[in-house]
Amino acid sequence: MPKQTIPPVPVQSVDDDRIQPTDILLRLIPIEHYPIDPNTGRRFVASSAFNISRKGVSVLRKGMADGVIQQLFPDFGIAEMTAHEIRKAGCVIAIEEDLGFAHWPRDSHAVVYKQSDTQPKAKLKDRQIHALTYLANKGMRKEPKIP
Amino acid sequence: MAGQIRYALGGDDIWRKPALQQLASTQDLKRKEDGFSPSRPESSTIKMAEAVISAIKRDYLPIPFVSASADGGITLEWHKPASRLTINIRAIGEVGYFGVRESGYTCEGELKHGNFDFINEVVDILLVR
Repeated sequence: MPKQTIPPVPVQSVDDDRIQPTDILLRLIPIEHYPIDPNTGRRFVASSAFNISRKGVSVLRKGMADGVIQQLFPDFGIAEMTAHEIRKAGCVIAIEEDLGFAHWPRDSHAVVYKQSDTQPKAKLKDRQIHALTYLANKGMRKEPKIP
Repeated sequence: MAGQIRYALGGDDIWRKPALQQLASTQDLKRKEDGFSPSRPESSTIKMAEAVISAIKRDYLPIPFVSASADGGITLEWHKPASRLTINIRAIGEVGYFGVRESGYTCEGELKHGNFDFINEVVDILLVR
């Protein structure tokens, strides 16, 4: 009997349509990820800000977590990017609780994964890390406190 | 100290020692779970980063920026005026790279464990030529 190949069933995307394309998402940037470029003398957001493989890249929905940011991350920089830009970089955005950090207000925390037809929460590849780093550099709205 | 900038003043230099010093400084970090702060890498991740650094044969390169990510991954990042190369050693044990030139040329890929030699071609294209 001929062997039948079962086509893979596309997985349900975790991309959350409650996050509109024009919504702004924040990535907090610690000073350790904001070094000086010796070529330009200017600081830049390093790719290490997005080299996260175990649980996806945390972002915050603008205007929903300001109190916690001010209280617990006062010295961090803030990079802004739109949901459209993040998706265009080949990513999906899921509103998720952060199980390792319980302080974020409900629905304020989201996680960025690589868009994939086979894995709902695929880890970012280097291309996405590069693209998100570019967006963070472009959208740097507040610098980390420089010691 | 973690996060301290140890770049030379641009140009090419013996890069390996300062890269390894920056790598060693990541062991001073605490393990954090906030999703944003750099977190101390596992020793296996450090060893893999050391293996990548050792695999690069060129002695004269710009000094890379070496830092730990929020889940204990390690990134080596070289900037030149017309090109950039990033090598991401992921906390889950994979190694990937992404390079870009001002002209728009990009290259990316994964490096296989125990065979990081291919990175030399990428280094030559992006940081030497």
